[in-house]
Amino acid sequence: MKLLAEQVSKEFLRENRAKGTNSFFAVQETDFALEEGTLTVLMGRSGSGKSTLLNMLGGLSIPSSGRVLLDGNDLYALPDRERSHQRNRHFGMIPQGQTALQSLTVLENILLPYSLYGEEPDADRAEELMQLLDIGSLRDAKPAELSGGELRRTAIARALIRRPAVILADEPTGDLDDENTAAVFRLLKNAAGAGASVLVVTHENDAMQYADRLYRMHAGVLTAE
Amino acid sequence: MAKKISLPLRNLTGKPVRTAVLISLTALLTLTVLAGSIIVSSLRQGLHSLEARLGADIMVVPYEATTKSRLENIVLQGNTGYFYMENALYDKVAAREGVGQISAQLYLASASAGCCSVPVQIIGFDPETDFTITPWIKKSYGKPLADLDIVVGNDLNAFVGDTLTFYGVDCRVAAKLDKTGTSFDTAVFTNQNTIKALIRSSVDRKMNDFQKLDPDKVVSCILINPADGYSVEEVVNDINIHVKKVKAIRTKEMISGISESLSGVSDITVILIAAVWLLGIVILLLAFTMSVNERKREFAVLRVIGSSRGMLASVVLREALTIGVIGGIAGAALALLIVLPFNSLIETQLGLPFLLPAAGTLIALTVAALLIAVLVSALASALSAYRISRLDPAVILRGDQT
Amino acid sequence: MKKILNIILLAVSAALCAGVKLVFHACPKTDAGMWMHCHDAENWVCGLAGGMTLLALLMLLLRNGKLAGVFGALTAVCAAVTAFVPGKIVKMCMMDSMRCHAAMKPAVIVCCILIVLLAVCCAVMRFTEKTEN
Repeated sequence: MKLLAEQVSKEFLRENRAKGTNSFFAVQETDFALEEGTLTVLMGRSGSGKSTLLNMLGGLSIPSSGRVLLDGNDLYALPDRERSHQRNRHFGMIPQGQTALQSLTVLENILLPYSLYGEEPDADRAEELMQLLDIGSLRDAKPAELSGGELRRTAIARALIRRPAVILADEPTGDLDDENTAAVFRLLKNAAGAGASVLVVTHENDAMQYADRLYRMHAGVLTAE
Repeated sequence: MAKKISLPLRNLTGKPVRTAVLISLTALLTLTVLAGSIIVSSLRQGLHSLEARLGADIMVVPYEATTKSRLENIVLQGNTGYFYMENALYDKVAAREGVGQISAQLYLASASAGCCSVPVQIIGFDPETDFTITPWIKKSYGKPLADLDIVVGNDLNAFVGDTLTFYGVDCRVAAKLDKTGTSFDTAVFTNQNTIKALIRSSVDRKMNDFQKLDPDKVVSCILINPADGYSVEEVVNDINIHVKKVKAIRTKEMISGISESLSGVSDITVILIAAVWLLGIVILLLAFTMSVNERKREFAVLRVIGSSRGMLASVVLREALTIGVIGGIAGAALALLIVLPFNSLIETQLGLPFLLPAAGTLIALTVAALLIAVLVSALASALSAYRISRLDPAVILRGDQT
Repeated sequence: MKKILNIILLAVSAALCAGVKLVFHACPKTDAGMWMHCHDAENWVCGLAGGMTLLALLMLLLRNGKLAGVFGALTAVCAAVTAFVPGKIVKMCMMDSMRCHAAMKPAVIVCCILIVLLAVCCAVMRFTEKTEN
């Protein structure tokens, strides 16, 4: 599936006691395309607006202007219920930080995207991902028992469980060692190879070697490299 | 393989202590509202029952019976006692203008050493003139009472066919009355011949406070309803002015003390229920808000993997409803387990007429209490559910990184 | 779980045994200094509850699940009988408004229902448990 951003921008209001309320653009008006079968890497310093762009692309943050099109359909023209369902079926998102649900086991966390809409879970896929991410032995563990890296890999497995057409990863290798970082990038590369549109937001230079396309972001302005 | 996951249920079982506290709180709220409303409703029922049982607008008694407040103790508190006045006074009262229905009663208390472990109030009425007890007895016993036949109140452990002995006189239990929740539940009713025989025997055995008493020449109490066109007030005043040695009392006045105590108890109960509920609702509101706040990140994650705003709100609401239903059922069961078996104890402790409502009313009160518990849980969580459905996942998830 | 239930069973039985003498006791002596019928009921309940307490304690200490299960069943039967002591097996006072009817009888019945439920649960759990060696 092709994900296209047309003239999207995001404006935030910032309250400042001295100067009163003022606004700033986290993302300036930007055109961006995420092609099928490619792994796109978006680099930039923290605060440059790359996570905001990723959230707008994922249907989580309504743009201040512009449109986000999934296979030609305006994502934000859909009602929340429909847009959320689209996100569940077609998007695999890996947010920043620890994102496991504390009351569920590792396996249940990974299969969660299926249970939201009462679908039959793909247990074999979960098994395969857990093996690839080296968390197979932790299937029945609760998140509180896991390390940061293990939680991260759980989140990655959860994002990939439904073989999504669009993968949006925000600093996916933040807590990982070199070996696991390489494994995760290989996984994402394979997903792109299988036809997914993959966007990885990172500030790690290692990511460049896996990139089919590379972008940089600075103060809300996106430039292709 | 992996079972279907119920998120609300998993969230509840994942935090057993918090869940147990919330369920206990909801149970406490249901317990107070159900137990409180059953008690208030029983008190009201008891008062109605007492009004119905007194059955006459005016009671005339010997003057000394009122000064020693014996009458009120007997009629309202269920204590035993007796007092007498000459028959001539009955004739004088009956001759007054404005007196409509009129009937005399004779009182006696059984000796504690007799049939029963404690003294019982015996009330003898005149079947020919009686208009207060006969209609009530008719519900349980269709025939006129034969001599030495008695009718017992519901709280007495005697059954139809049993023989009770008072002052050496054997009396047959002809009927047992329905419960009234008043002092009449522990009384025994007889016709005039029977009670006269009992009084005579008590005097013969020197067990009566009034020696040299001739039961044929006395009455204890006269019950009156005013004739048409006369007010209760007029008749009472007329008797009190013109007939010496007696006191006419408006029965409503006698009950007014009880209705005041009853409204006092009702008010206190309502205030208590309100206080517990106010506190409970505030705690529930805080608990749900805190519980949702500490899981904001989890809700943001659910949004990321495809939950709609409505689904997030539904998770919060379903958690609250589960707590409401379990807590409500537990609280209602506890309330019924306390109030129903111990209703006699509550009655004794309150010292007021107390008659449990009918089964239908009890069921309705229970269902209402359950609904209130569920509704309050839902309302307490509604604010959290609304807030969580409005959260911006992008902001929440970014917040972790700062 | 079964241990917790057994401890609750022990506590309720002990509470019935002590409570029937101290808290929800029957009617006091009459003014003439005589005990009424209900005092016998109180003594019977106290004795039976003491027996149930002992049985519950033995269940807790016993390792043999089958035997503990039998003791549990015995406790349940004993509680069921105890519930009928006030008023049915042993005569009570004349008026329902008296203490033995108003306080003792309902308290004994409620406790006995609780004991029967707990004892049946414990008995089933212990009887069906796998023997540990």
